[in-house]
Amino acid sequence: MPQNEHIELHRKRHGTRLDYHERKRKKEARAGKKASYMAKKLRGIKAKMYAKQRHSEKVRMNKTIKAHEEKLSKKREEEKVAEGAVPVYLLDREQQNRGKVLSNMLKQKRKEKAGKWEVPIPKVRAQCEAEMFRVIKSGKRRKKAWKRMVTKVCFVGDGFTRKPPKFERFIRPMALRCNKAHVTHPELKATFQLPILGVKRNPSSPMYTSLGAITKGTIIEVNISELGLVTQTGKVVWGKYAQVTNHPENDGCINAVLLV
Amino acid sequence: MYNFKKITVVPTAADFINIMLSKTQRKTPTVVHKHYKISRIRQFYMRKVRFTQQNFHDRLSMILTEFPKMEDIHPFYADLLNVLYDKDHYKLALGQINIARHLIDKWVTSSRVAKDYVRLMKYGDSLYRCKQLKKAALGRMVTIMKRQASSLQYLEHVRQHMSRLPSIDPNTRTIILCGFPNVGKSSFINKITRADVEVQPYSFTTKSLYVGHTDYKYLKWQVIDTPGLLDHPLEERNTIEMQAITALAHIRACVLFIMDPSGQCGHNVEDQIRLFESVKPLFANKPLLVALNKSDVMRRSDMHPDDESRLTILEKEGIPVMEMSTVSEQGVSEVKTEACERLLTYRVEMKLKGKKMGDILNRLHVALPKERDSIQRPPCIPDAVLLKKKNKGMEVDEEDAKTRKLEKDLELELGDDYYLDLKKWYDLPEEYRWDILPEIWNGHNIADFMDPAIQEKFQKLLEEEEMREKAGFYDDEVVEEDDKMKFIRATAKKIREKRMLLSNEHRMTKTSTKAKMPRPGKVRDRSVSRLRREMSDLGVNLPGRKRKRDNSMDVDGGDGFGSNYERAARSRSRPPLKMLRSESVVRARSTSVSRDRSGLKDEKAITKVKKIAKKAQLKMNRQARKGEGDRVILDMKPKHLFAGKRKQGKTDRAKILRGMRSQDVHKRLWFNYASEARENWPESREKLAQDEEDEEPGASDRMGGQSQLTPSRKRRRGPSATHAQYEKIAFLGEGQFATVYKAKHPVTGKVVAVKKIKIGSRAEAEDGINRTALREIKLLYELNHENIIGLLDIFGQGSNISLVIDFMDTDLEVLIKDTGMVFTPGNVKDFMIQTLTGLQYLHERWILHRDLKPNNLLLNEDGLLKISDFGLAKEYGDSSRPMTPMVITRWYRPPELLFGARCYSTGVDMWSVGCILAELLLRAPFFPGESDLRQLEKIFSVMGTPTEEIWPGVTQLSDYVRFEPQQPHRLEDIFSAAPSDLIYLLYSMLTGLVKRLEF
Repeated sequence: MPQNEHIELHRKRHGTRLDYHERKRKKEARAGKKASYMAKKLRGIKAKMYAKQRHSEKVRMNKTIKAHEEKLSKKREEEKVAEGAVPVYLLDREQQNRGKVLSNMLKQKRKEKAGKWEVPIPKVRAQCEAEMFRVIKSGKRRKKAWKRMVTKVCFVGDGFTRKPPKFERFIRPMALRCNKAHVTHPELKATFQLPILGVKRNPSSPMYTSLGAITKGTIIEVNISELGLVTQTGKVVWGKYAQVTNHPENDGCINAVLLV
Repeated sequence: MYNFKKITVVPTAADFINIMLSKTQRKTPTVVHKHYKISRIRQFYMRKVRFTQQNFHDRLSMILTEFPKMEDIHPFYADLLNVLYDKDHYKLALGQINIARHLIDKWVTSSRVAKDYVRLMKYGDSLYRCKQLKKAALGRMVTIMKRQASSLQYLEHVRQHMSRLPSIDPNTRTIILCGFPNVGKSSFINKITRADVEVQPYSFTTKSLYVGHTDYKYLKWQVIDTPGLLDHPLEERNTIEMQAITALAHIRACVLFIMDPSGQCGHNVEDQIRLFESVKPLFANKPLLVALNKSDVMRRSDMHPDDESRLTILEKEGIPVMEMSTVSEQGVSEVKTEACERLLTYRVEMKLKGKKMGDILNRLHVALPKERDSIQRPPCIPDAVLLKKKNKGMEVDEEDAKTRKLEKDLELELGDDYYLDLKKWYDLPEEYRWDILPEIWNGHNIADFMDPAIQEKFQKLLEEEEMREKAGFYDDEVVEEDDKMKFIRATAKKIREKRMLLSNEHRMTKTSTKAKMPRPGKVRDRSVSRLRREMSDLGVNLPGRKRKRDNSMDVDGGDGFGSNYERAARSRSRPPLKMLRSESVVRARSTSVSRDRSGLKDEKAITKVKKIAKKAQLKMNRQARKGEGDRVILDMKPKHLFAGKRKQGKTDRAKILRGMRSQDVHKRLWFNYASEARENWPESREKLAQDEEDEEPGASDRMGGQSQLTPSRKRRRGPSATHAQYEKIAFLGEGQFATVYKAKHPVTGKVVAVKKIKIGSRAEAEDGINRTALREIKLLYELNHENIIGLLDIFGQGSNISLVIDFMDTDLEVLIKDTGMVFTPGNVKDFMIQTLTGLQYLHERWILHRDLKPNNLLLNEDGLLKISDFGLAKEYGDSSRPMTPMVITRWYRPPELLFGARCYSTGVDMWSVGCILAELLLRAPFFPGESDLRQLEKIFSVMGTPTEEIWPGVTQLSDYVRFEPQQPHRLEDIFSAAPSDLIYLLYSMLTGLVKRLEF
């Protein structure tokens, strides 16, 4: 025992108080009351946090109780149902495998037809220009209003140079420029931060595509060389498309799903 | 030196996040108002992000600065920390924290949560977007912190352990004890210091470094007890041993190697010597001492010669070997002294060797003059000086000082005869030394004015006086002053005193430098009583009687003077003609002691008891309660509990109160009172009520044409209060003419009702005030009865006029309508008798109420009933003045008024009372007519249609309408539960029809 553990030293030399265990027991017994008092007393965010914590505690407790009960009660082991087994009352029916196959084929066909454009988020809300741009007034009397500022996250390529102010119709602010996206590989269920190569298509308007504005549902091209995916011929795949799944202007980051 | 105890607690990751987020919540604004512009909303959320970032930064920086850096601390501690907590882990944890700080901070370019989000927020175009960005920003900061969970936990463990490390100063004078386990190191440190290290018979009792302090040569010495060492290579040593090694390696101290020659520790001397040799490199350049402990078990002389020879080898190397026993304490202090001495000399040597010392010594030079030759050169004192000294007698004096008697000696010698003679030290020739000095006072020698024969003369004078007395010189009487002279003198004295007082007073007021404060209200400073008092003070008795109030001061009885003043309203009571004859007071009563003193022995006990009582009351006083029984709640619905947002259990008290709203409480209280106390009410009082009723019409007969109000009553209202004096508590209700508030007098605390008269139509308000109000005020001002509502005060404010009347809790209508209450016969009787006594009082004063209904019979919680609402009341008895029949609420209006009679009297009120009585019995209005005709129909269906025979002159009434003749019902059938006398009373109230119309 180190030198400065005074409490432990005292306990070691003189033992605990005579009513130590009783007090401890009582304190533990009171804990429930204390908790319920707190639950009643707390307000606002604290109450919310407390309720959440209590909830999780209760869930845990219930689960352990269940587990114990299960352990204690003797049960017959359920026999595994064999694959393709059918209850008695269905035995006389014939299996209609063929119909299903047919419909599956149909579906497959349709899918292929449409498959070119199928994306994880097929429908997105259109972004109108009022939402997309802020009008910047210019001129001595502030009456010219031909300039626009994009208020959504944009991808701006490396080589971009701003035009002189007189000719710059669209401003893409530095703060809203993004060049990285968090891309999830749907099969790998893993997310990577990958550099953006370009905006393939913004569904709202081709103009947004050309501006590089990234909103929810936008298809972007990302650099996946990091992932080390290989084509059938053995070449490393470089760029791939991904669809943006969040509102980057609200979250400050771009989340996307890789289109495979 | 190093205070590791001061490091602040490192919270766990979850706590850390909670602390940060709740701090943001607490210390930044939380409400976005509707009218905020977008720029302000942006600012609002930016502030939150920046604030949180700053907090994270501060907290993390604090952790980083407070934990010691391995490079900055003494190598001993650095090594110790390394041994205990693993340097790499420690550095890594702090590094992680540092990275987290950078990630959150705005100052790093690569990843900077706060700065990025603040920038993004600049382009936020909606509240929603800004809020989302804020949420994302805080979320990212929290995520960063969550990843630091393990580092924070590790740092907290380290902090807790570090705070318990012994505070070792690595630079001070230190003795380090080392050796095999169980050789007596801890026993030794316990012997020489107060470290109180645990000693046990098994090895490795001491698992960490212990420090104690001892004293030698007035210096503080630090003694470090190390865990026992085993003889194996450094790599195999465990953490416990490594602590000892660290101390040995880094602290410049005297090493005391303790050996156990007896081998009781489990290792023989050979092993111990081997250990000594193996750790010897650590002892280099340190004073070293070997102590042979347990000399009580085995002395050095008893040792095996081989071992002995090993020790001698050590001694040959210059390492002293000493014997000691921590059990018998033999040699312990010698060992300590030797160790201290060695260390001290060593430290001095080291200092001398050191570069610093060289620097100082270089600058010092101690000159030692060499003898030039052997010639003596004594100091040269001139002869003149020597001579002068001799003349002054300095040497003589010195001689004398030794032999001279001191005052103290003298005192001892002489005893009581001694007196302090200071004059003998005067620098005067002996003959003058004790001369008497003249006493000079104001430039005169007192001696010059002394008569040497004064004593004799005085004696003579006394004798002469005595003789005179004897001769009866003084016996003749003093001339008596006559009364007049006496009076003059007394008066003059009085005048003088008065004048003095006046001038003093004047002076006092004049000299006062205080700012003159305006007086709160006009104090009435001139009054008859004052005049009288002042004049009587001056000795002038004013003629005339005093008013009754001043009776106590009136000395000469007051009768017989011609009255200059208004006579008091009532004649003053004469003194009783005869003495009250009563039985003499019993002895027990006459000798009884007052209760607060009974059973108490003496004054001391009484004061004690009083003190105790006062103390007992203290708690109650603090709660502003009279005693335990005082459960009054002054404010049933305090505004702060019922208005606005309720937070933090504010409703708890409200909940209690909600169960007992004022009205309910009063009803309940009242009900208990009425049902219990009045259950056995004497029958006779009811009879009395009947009698009174019977008399009533006769009374109006007696009255002639003249209607006169008796105005002569003592005025009970004080100077009119202003409205500001009343605190409005609650709104009670609104009538046709007035609004009623519940209010409290702030000074007296009395709860009253304030009736604020509405300004009526222009026609009505012609003479400035509503007619009904005027009527009410006029009448109420005259009335003073228990069962009549009392007018306490009237005040005007602007064009409004407000009446302050008694506050009553409820009215009879509420009680009647409350189906939860049961009226016992006692209750009904109580209501009726109170109504009737009030009414009797009114009728005796020639006033008709003309609006009696349950609604106007007010009740308080004591069950006291008061008649209120005198808006329609009127003086009656003047047949020349017709009255309007459009009075009394329809349900309680008698048929003659419905028929348009213009001359009526007390009967109309009695009808109303009858209706009220019936309503009390039925718990529903007796004649609830929807219109005047319907009303008559209802009345006649019960009472029978009146005919000219039953009611002479009914057909002559202005609004007479003929009704289908109906037979009267028997009241017994309607009020089946009522006793016969009650039916009789009701009947007489309702069928005074003939008697009712006198005019």
